[in-house]
Amino acid sequence: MTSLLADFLSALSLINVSLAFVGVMAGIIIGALPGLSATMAVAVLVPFTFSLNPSSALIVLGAIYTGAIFGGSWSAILINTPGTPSAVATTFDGYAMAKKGDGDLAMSISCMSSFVGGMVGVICLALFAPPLASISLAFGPTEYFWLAMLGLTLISTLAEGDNIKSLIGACLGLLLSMIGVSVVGGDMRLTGNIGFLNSGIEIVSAMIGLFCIPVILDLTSLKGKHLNESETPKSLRLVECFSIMTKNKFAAVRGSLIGTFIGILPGAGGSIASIVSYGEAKRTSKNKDNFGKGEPEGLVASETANNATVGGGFIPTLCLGIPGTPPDAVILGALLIQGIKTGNTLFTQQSDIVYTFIFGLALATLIMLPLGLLMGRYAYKFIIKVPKEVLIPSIIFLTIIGSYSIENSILNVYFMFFFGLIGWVLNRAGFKASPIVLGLVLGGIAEQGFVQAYIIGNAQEAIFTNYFGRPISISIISMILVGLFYPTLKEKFFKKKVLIND
Amino acid sequence: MIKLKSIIKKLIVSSVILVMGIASANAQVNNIIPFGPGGESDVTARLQQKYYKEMFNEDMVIQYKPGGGGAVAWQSLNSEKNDGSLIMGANLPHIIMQPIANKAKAGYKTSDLNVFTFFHYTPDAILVEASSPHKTFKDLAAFAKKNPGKLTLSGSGTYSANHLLTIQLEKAGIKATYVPFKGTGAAVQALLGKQVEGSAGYSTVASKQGTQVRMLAVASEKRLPAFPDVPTFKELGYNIVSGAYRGYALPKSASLATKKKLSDRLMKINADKNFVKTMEAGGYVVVNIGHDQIDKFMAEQIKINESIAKTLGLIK
Amino acid sequence: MIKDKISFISSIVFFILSGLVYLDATTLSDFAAVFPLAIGTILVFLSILLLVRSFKLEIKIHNDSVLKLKIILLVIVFFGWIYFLERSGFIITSLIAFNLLVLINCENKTTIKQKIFFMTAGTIFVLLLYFGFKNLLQVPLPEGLWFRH
Repeated sequence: MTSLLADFLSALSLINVSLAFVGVMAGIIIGALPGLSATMAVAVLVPFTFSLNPSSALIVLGAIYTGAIFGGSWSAILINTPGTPSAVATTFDGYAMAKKGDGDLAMSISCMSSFVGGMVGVICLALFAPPLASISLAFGPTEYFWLAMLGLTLISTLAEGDNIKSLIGACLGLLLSMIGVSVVGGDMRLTGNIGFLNSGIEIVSAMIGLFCIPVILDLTSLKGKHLNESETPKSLRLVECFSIMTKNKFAAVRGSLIGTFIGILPGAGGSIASIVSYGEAKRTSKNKDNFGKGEPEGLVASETANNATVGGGFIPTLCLGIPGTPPDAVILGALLIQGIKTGNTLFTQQSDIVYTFIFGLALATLIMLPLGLLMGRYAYKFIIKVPKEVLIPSIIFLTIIGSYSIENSILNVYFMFFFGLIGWVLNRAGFKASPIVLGLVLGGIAEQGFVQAYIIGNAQEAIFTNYFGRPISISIISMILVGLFYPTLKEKFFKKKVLIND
Repeated sequence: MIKLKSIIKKLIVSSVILVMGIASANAQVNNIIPFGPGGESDVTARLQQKYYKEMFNEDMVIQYKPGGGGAVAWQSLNSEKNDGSLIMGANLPHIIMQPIANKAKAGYKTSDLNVFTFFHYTPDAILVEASSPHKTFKDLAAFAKKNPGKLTLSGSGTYSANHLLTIQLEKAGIKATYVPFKGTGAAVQALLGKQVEGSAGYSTVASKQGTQVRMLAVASEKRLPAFPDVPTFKELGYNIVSGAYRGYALPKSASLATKKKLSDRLMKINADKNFVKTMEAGGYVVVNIGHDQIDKFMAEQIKINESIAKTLGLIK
Repeated sequence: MIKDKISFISSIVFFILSGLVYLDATTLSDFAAVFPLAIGTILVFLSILLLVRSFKLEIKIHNDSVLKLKIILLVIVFFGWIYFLERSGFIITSLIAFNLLVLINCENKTTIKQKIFFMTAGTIFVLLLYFGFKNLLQVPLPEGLWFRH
């Protein structure tokens, strides 16, 4: 216990606190800029960490990571563009709220939700890391496949009225995810001989195009302001925000747990967490019809989940040496250079470093709350006042410089542009972006899981049991069936009840 | 009046930031890694970055340009500045195998890349999870011979070094089923989770995962200093010596003087005892192939890989 | 006869798309072809459903009306910005394009004074981000192929 106290105090050292503070601030700004992802933010900072001791290095990297995931919600709320892929589900209701004039409320809700989700993730990291790590190992290709299927059943929930078009959108997303070299087979698929597509669709530029370009085109052609000003632009609307959070506390906790859980599964990440959490919230909510029109519950669901993946993602990273999310891969590299060996020995032999880091990450998440609220308020006030004449060119500029920075390639900028135009046309034809993004994000996981499960099952001459006989898979399949048939079952039983009472 | 004051304030703040931004530009060399962050190319480059700054007082700025297994970056090398301010990671067997396997779709030819040094390689290895019943490679081979195809080995990608290792094993009589995953991380995850019996990976996996895995055999010439108990394939009677070499290339139009300067610098880092120690602890084998030996080395490698490609049926 | 023209056209487009997917799948090995074929088949099925539905009913899409001229101008300048980015260098292209876009988006009531103010603020913004990305974030922004010697 005394060593824990020592670790706690060293996390509160002046250096570490300043690192956490600067890290969160820089992370929020970088995350808010579309095209600059959390991975990039972390990668830029790594060289500066060489002169730091391991726990300080981890603290600043973790701080910038969690700040960036929160920062991504800013552009999602203000210009409908996920600043980082993990903020994709935040656009669904965050932007709608901003258009209604509740943008400042949305910024505050996002900050509080990110705080709650981040803290839950850190707490799970601190208390349950080893058992959660073993659970993540139990997830093999079959489980990933069924999990992706579970995610895909959310299409019907995300659908807004036109089911056929949503399903077509999801199929389109799935096809887009298959462009490039296939993992099993090594074939080049669906590239139509365009060399650029050999590495597949780059998700960040695709999201910028799909979400931002339609907004720009609408802004330029329609009269009227971009976002309606809120009635009380001076305040943070804290009281209102707090009451919304308490009203939606169940969604917040559920979102955090979903996020933590998806974080411990390597290969998934913030984008999947936010979409799944949002879809689940919509499916079970009483206000499901308000989702997509500015329902705070959707915002809470999305932002708690994506920040929970930060803490959750560190679990396989630190316990197994396998990165839980893309930024974790960079952090892992930085740790290797510091000479830190991850794995089960980390918690036992180098527990000082780990626990100092965990306390530091908790501190950074704590700092994010007031810092994020303050910075958010200024950002909101500023953006609201910018006139369309400057706003539109500025957004276009950000999309160009952002999509260029992803891979230092002009091709991504072209891609973002054309994909955006296609997205705009599809939008006007009634095909919404959310099913497409869902398919795009889940397609790879679904396919790889399916084919790998087949190969392994075939080698063991037990294909059927490999797909349907594994305990975790069975629970996931039951969740899928319940999700699909519960509404109809509910009606049947409900009807019966009414008859009996009659 | 108040509005003007606030505007002036904002202007001052922005110009200060502007000046700070301009001032922080330094003399530097850009090191473009053709993969995403976190991999072997990244980790070794980061290590070099540290020593580069100490030895030559210049920044080595690492940037990532992933895509197509490296092809996206290699396609663009010759349109970059050739004055030595930019070097790009070069990986074997990738830069030889990709143009062979994908022909025109690869987007570049091996000869397009002006490689000037290779500074390390990671030998291929077969690993099992720590609690696996296979204690030695002989156990594994016996299992495979009794149950052809039942031995599942995870690895990263198709037609990659991991995949080629399993093909070489198949030719030596060990018939396993290769299960491709997207990246080493996913392949290792499957190994640790016991979804597969073993993994065809690199020696660096053994180093990263420590006691969670057991390396049964390594495809280097001699036993690795960091793993003195692990036999080489050669010792076990299999003529398998392979792995991934990593080095750097310049645009084709770079001058001989530029090549020499950069090659000498990187070889100097290679000569540093501490650098070598850190590399070896991580499972990397340091090699010193500078610009003067590069042509001969590349010619040899091309011959070796072309013969592998012939057996795979990629070349007629 | 056709109640929902947009759905009708869309269904044809996606039908053709599935055909292209089938075509591509013929070049693929067994494993790599599984998913494309499966999704392609589902897409064919859905396209036919949509086609049939377009004769029977129309689900209205709420689209606000747009000013076509402004959109066309914007798209042209946007594309030009990207096209010239590597040729004439980031700074020059961005400064020109940004200010052009400001002018395009100006409405009749914006005064000359306001226009100049917007363009100056925009120029500072562009420069700020340029140096920020270039030096702080170490992103190699294009310097202009035309000026390379």
